[in-house]
Amino acid sequence: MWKASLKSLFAHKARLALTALAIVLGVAFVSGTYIYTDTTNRAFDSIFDEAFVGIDIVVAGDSTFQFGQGIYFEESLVADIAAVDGVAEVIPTLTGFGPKIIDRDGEPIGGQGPPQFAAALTGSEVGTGGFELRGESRPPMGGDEIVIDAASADTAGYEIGDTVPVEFPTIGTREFTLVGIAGFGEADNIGGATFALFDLETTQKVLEREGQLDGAFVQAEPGTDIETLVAAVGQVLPEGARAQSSQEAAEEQAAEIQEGLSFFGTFLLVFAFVALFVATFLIYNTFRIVVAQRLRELALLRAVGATRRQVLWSVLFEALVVGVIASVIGIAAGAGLAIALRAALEQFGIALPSAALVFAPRTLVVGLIVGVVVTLVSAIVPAIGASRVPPVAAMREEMARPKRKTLTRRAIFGAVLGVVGVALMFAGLLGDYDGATVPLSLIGAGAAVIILAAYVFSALVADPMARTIGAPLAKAFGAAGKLAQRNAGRSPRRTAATASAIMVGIALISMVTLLSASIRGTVDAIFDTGVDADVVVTSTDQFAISGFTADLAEEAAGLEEVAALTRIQAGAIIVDGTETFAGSLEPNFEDFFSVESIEGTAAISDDGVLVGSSEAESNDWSVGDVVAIEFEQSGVQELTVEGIITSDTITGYSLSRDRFTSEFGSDADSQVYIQSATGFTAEETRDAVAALAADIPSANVQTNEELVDEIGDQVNQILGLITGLLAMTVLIALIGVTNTMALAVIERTREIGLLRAVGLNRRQTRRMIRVEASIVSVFGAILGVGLGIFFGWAILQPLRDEGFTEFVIPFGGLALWIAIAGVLGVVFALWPAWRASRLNVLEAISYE
Amino acid sequence: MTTIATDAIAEIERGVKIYGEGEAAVHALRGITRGFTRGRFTAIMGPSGSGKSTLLHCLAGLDTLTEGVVRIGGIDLGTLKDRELTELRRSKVGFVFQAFNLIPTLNAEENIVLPLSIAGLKPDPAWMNEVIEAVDLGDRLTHRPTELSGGQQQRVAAARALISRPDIVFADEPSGNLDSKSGAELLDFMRTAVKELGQTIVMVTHDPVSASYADEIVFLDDGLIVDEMHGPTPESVFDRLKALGS
Repeated sequence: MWKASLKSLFAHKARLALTALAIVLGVAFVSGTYIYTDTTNRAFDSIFDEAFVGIDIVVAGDSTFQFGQGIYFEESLVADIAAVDGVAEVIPTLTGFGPKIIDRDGEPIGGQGPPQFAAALTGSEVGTGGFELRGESRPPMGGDEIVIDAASADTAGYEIGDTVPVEFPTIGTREFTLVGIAGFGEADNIGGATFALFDLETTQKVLEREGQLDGAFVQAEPGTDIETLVAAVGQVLPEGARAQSSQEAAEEQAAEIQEGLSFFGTFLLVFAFVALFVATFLIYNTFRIVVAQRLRELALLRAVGATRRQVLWSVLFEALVVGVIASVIGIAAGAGLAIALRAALEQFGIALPSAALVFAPRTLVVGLIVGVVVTLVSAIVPAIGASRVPPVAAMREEMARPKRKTLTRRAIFGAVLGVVGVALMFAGLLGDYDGATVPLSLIGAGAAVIILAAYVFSALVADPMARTIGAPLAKAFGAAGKLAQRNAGRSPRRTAATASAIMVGIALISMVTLLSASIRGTVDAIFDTGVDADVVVTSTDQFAISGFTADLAEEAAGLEEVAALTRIQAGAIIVDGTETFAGSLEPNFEDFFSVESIEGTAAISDDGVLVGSSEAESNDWSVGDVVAIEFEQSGVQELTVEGIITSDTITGYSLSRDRFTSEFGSDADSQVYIQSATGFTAEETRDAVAALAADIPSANVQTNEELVDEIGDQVNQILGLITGLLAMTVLIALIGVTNTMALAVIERTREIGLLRAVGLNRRQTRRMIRVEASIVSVFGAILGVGLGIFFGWAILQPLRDEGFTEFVIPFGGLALWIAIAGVLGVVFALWPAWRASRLNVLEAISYE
Repeated sequence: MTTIATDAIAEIERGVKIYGEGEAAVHALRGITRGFTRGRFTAIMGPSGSGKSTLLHCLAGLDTLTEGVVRIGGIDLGTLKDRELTELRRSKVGFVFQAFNLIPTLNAEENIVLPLSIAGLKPDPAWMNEVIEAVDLGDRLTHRPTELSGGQQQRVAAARALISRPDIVFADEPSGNLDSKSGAELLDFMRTAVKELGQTIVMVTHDPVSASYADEIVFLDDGLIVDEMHGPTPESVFDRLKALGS
């Protein structure tokens, strides 16, 4: 029996190779993601291990803020620690967000991407925080010298001795002489962040932290017990600081970065599993067709004494062999993918430390299990079908057809699946999780079940849909078109399975397209009706707290082009355990932002907070309540809810400007909204303000429209990335088109031979196959677009309260995807079409 | 050597067909020369392996000769490219095979006009009526092949072979899969097509009764024409076969 399976396997190498390719790609995604993240994690582990070589204890702020500025201490910290018994040396540290290294074109390096840091680099041999000076470099000394990270130096083409301008959120742009270039281990930077390194005094000056530190590295006297010393140092530390052994600190810092990167890994894994999900359709379909084509052979096996179980296992064994081979190839391909991924990220300026690829046992096990299980699960239904072939089918053609489930049964089954899927999805979307993260797996499972329901239903409509879609093609391509139209509908279940694989990818792409169009619509609506400003100044820094100097707004207010302006600051706070952002408003904000209603007052005192209505509602607050807000510097503060505001634009927590400035130690602005004086266009005002901001690259001066466009572009960029990854799954599905068409050509050999005999030429034969593939692909794409619109609509439901009020169906974009699917269907049918046109007419029609 | 009649619509000259090479070479046709006259119904008979199907396939342009020439309507098939050959089959040649003659996704009428629709042509309504009437399908014209009996299917195939008014129709055991009554109906239809519509038909068969519907019979053995007969009856064919020792 095994021999029969293996023989069958080798007899159909080509079709199984195509099936295997789907598994290979899916497994490659999974293992590639694992290999990449494992490799990166190990690299960071070793970097942080090296970073603290020679250091025994690390003293740092004990901040729970992810988007905070850090906690700062008086310089006396050094002396206090040095006085502890067993301490040999104390190296002060100071790092801050925000300073941008400016390239030769006057643009900040790194743009809006990863964060920018300034840090102190002492001349000490140890405690460099992981930086290694390269080549002729030396540590910076005095107020005019700077060392920058190697990636930035490379990007801007700076060499030692060059003048490097750096822009600071507070003190504006200064120029320094480059005396060194630093790497981070072997990497040129960490995750794309830029570093400007100065001596301690200069760092304090540029960060406006005179006399302050954010921590210290401690070297112990030889023979001192580190645990004891950690405790002893802890005793002398001020509020908000803590001491850790360097080993613990290394682990913690590596873990922090790894956690940040794990999002990326999860993101890729999601695509890997979508790809595998698509692959299941392919494998299922291939095995179904293969079994159908081997029915007589299987019946013969049954007739000569094979049991049902043996037939079942022979098909599953075939699947097992395919699964194992494909998974092994997939894991190997995953390594290639990991390398490609790293290269691609480096292209985007996100250098990650290099290290030998890490093959964790988990990668191999998960890759193998996932690949094999997906193959077996997909093959199980066809295998059961094969085992049910009656022995008599070997003799009688008409018996060799498996019984079809009745349409009613199929419809009921589909309806049940649909209801379950929608229920799961909405349970995930609308459930009350009380601050806990929304269970994405529940939503994902719901979506998967809905997709299965769509597949079940699609078989019911495959024939009429194929006729409808094919009608114009039949008209355009004559007999070949008509034959293609009929062929597309002749085996509805096969067409449905092939189309459904395409449907999955297109559904997700449509959903993302719809969501981005809706986000864009919401942004448009807010800036159209919610904001009354002609020019908006925003910070190019995504870490809003660094912002840009408050001088800009003060000078702009004096321009003749400017009638009025209002400023907003932004910074991180923690409310009820969740980190969020607080802002500050100026009293005139209502002239700029549409406000539905205000309960209490908007003119809040320094001890008050203005809360958005949705936050007030979910926390059950009313005017007069005292709420606890945690700031990074001052810890938990009690503020009185003096007003509750209902508005599309002003949400969250707003403080008075004075209170904000003192809590965050910075009066930098995050946004400035400007109204033009009469007689000046938005563009004229923009140019006037932009002239003031010439030396402040972090201030981005735009007209209202430009800002909306820019946000739209950013949304589109993310959309492009996600669409690109999803397009991979569509390509996998299109392999299914090749496969199905190739199998159909084999199955219809005689029919094609007959058509050739009665006058269908090769070109028409190829056209017939290609048009059929195109119809199937378009069918899948239409299903996908329909499903995608539903998914998008469903996901927007819980976001309505968050201000995503617009539901925009981008018909043009969605229609484009249907057209793309149609064209790609043709491309992926080229090979089977060529095969069909090259069939030997005589062999095709000869019988017996 | 037999000379070829000048009014032959299809002809084969010194036709040799060899399958395989060297030791394993099989000589299917060993040098056949014959013309097929317009308006005649010719049967080709012979034992299994005599080369009768090969002859038919080569005459019809479905297979190529190793040596020699085949002409249809004066055109040397050996000089044609696949595209031209396909066009010739579409316009000048009709086919009826033993089985699997029809496209399952098309109904009877669509199957009949298939060669025309492939060529992008519309059927001549008068001719269409004549053919359809002759096929005698009645209300089954819109039925799919699976809904037709074996005899009906073969008659549809015959009608398709005639619809483009080809120079010549080739039939390969057309009644081979039919019961005797359906077979007789089909062969009657074919004879009528020759007698009344002026068609030319060449049919391969091993059945003396089927062959007796033809105007003339060519007997083949071991790749050579061994005998001919005109105005056959089932009995005379049977006797001749016996005499030929098959």
